Amino acid sequence: MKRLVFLVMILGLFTFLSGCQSDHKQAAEIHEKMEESASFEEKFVANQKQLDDTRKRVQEIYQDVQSLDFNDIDAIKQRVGDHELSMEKQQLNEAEENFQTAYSKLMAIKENIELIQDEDQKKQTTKLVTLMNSRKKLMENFFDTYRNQLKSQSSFFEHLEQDKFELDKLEGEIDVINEDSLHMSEVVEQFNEITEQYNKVMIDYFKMADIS
Amino acid sequence: MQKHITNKGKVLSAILVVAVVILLVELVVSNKNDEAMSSLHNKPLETLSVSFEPMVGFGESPLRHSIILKERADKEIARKQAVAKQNEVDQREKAIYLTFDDGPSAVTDQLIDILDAFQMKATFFMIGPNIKEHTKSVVRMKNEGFGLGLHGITHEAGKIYSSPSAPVDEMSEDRDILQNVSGVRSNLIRLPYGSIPYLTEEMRYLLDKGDFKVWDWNVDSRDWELKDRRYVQHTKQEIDRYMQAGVTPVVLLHDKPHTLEYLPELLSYIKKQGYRTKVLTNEQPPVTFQCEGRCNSIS
Ligand SMILES: [Zn+2]
Repeated sequence: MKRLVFLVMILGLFTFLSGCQSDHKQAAEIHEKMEESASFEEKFVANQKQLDDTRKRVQEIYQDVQSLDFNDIDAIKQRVGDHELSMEKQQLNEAEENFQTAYSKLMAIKENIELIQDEDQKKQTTKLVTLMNSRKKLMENFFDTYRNQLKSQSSFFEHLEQDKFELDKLEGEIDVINEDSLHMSEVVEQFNEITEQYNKVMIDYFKMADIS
Repeated sequence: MQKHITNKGKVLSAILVVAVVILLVELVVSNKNDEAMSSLHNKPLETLSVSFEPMVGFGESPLRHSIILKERADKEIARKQAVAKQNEVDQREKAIYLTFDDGPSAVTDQLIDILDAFQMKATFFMIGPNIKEHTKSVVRMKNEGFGLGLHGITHEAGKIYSSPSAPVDEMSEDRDILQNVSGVRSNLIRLPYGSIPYLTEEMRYLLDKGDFKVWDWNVDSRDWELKDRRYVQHTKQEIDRYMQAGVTPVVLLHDKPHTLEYLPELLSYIKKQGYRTKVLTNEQPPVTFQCEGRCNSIS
């Protein structure tokens, strides 16, 4: 009888220990996947910084063109920002690719989450996935708006290049460009808030994983 | 029996030793994980520090101004052609346009009575607050088929020309007031003191965008200045001069008591000459003074 009780206790200890070990194993894998994802996030942030610089150059071109008389067509044509805009497009594509990769790398933790036994850890990691999905939604919105803005900017400069100086159209394009800018500022603000939440949840989770 | 228990004890001890070993291994492994994780703690995702500046300054830019001048010049060519065409029609009809500014007033009904007596039509350029004050006269004008136009809200040069959008703002407000009172949506406007010199190209551009038609005149009756019979004499001469030159007269008059006093004399002359009074319409190309470099901002 004593022997049986003892055996059950031992088995219980084993189960507990192997449960811990399994959650640890998942945490380690999740850590690895997150780190991989984060490396693409870094590239994505770098792309965004490049875009920021290119935008500043486009702003300068715009200011430059504005100071001219429309009769100085040659001067205007020399200044329009075709080159900068196509650079911006390329940088935008890169940013999107890197973000997309970061996203899919992170989504791979879903299979680990399924194997986590500790309820709190499961909850915390599920939150990570949810937050990453929110970030993705916002970024998709951001990229769509950005492409729309680049289209308006291209057509603004194209109109100038083709001597199409219709004020209604030019002003309409500037309005759309500015609306898009405002919208993107708001999206980035939300994106940053969620990124901060994400970081917090991540830290909490790894604390939990340590303790258990 | 003793030996048997001892054997059991050995087995149990062995199991315990194994368990302890496993526990130790676990601890070592989990410690390793801890180390790995602590490095991740220090690596949160970076937030984006980027900005989206609006494209500002186009409103006052040299580029925009140069485009406005070009658009205005093109519009002017089209307007002059349309005016010339309208003039041909009007000349065949011996048409003349009488216009009365600054009303409606306490004497507007009398003014309409006089016009009715001569079976003549005219167009009224009216000030917003006056329209509100004399709604009955305005409704009567509309019912009797007179032309309804706008003359702004303040009638003060310091206000209506105070900013590029001030004229269009006043005229839009006036248009709404007239529409509320009469149901007529009029795009006909006359600027206080005429469009020269304070109505800038930018103001003209904005009025144009608001569908407004800026009407000046070619015959100034000088009723506002002479205030007696002399204005009639002067106006008769001017009308004849324009008629002879093949230009349809657009006569500036005022909705004022001293104008009314001598108006029958002027109207009977017009009748005697066989001229036909007509009203201005939204569709008609307007007779407008041209800037030709003479327009300048009041401020
Ligand atoms: Zn007036």
